[in-house]
Amino acid sequence: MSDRKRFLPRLCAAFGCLLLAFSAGDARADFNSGWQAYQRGDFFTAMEEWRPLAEVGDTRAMFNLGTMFDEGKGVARDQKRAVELWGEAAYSGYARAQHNLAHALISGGGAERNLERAVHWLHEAAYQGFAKSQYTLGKMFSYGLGVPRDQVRAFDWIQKAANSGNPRAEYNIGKMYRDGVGVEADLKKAVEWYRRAAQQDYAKAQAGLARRYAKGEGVARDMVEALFWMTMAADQGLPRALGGRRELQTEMSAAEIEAARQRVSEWKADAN
Amino acid sequence: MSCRHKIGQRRMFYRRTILAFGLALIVMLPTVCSNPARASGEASSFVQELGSQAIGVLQDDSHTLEQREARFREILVKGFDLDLIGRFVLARYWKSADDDQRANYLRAFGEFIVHKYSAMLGGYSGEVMTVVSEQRSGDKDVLVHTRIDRPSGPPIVTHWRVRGSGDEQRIIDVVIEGISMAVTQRAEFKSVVKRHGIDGLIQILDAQSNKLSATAAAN
Repeated sequence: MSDRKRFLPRLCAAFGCLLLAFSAGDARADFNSGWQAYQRGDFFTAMEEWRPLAEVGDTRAMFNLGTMFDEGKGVARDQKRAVELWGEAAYSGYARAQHNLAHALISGGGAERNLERAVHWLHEAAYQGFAKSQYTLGKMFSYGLGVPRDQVRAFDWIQKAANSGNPRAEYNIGKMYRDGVGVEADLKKAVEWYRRAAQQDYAKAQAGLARRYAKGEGVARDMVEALFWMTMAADQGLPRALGGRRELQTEMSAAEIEAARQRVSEWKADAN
Repeated sequence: MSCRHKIGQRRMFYRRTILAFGLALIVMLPTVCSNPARASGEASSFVQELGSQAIGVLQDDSHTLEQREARFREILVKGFDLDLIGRFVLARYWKSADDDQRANYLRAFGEFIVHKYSAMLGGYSGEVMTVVSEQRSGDKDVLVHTRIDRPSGPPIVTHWRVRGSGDEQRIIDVVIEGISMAVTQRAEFKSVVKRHGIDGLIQILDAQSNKLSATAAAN
């Protein structure tokens, strides 16, 4: 009898575990089915898959539903609903939701504009190491939005994002070193950071690096390198690079222009 | 008519125009059953070519939606003169802006527009655009007239205002059912600048562009 008493609770526990395992498996499958539908552009199915998950507290599903309401994918655009969903996920600690909620509070889309609350949520995500929030938080300090203006703290947060390889942050750190904002001016370091972002195909950094080469600022003057990087930026449609490319070409020989063109071809061939 | 009712009507008008503009961008099809006798001009070819690139992206399911949207943004940047549109949209406030504000605004405006409309990419559902004709408009522009046929609902008449020639051609406005995208956007921005100033508008545009899309990442 005592054996049976011990056996029954164990059986129930095992059965319970089995059920949990199945339900967890189903939850993953639902999310993945939703993700596949989303990739196909079948937003209705994606919503159908993610909605039940969001209702039981899946923060990733809440976040994704929020983006669909915000962008009007598969549903009429509803920024207020997006903010509600992001808010729930943000309070559960989901960094992406904290990031989007902060941006909604900055833009006033779906929520009353509130820069102080935006900074609060950016801090929450930034302390989790979320690079895009670290970057925006740095910008908030740089412009004094929702916080007192503080270029040193701006530099610190943007550098954290740059250290994670965020190209926009890398470019901004390059500018801060160039201008001595929040940090002592250092043209060599400026070029280093521009280069990191430029190598990730960030057009503004490519144009900035081109200017440094053309002027010989922080790096030896090299017009071929200048035209190479300016062309890379211009090919992405950056308006100031289109003009910059024309200007550079007027100062260069045909052989130099050809060398730069060759360099662009090789770079693009390697990328493909 | 109450003030609230007027605002509601205006919002609905903006929303419909923006949706229609997004639709027009998304459905620029090159399978375009164009009428070559009436639409053989340079501007028509440009609009068709742009459409051909757009549909190439739309149909390429070997890439993620995020990658397709990024590619679509590149097409928008190359096909539209976003700087010119941006200046028009800011209207009289452009003159009062200093150089830094102008540069920041144009950057933010370009990013806002491409982010906003590329996010509508997935809404494509088999619409077909037909180039109907083109005509000169003033000294600088050509209006390309198109008709968008939809699987459901009546066709939408759309005009593309194209400026420049050869490789320098750019779209500077889209007029849908008589409503200009640029004029509509200008009305929206005017009220934002009145409340928050030009710097506030730039912050708002940046915040809209920097929001993240759906993800499969766990954190």
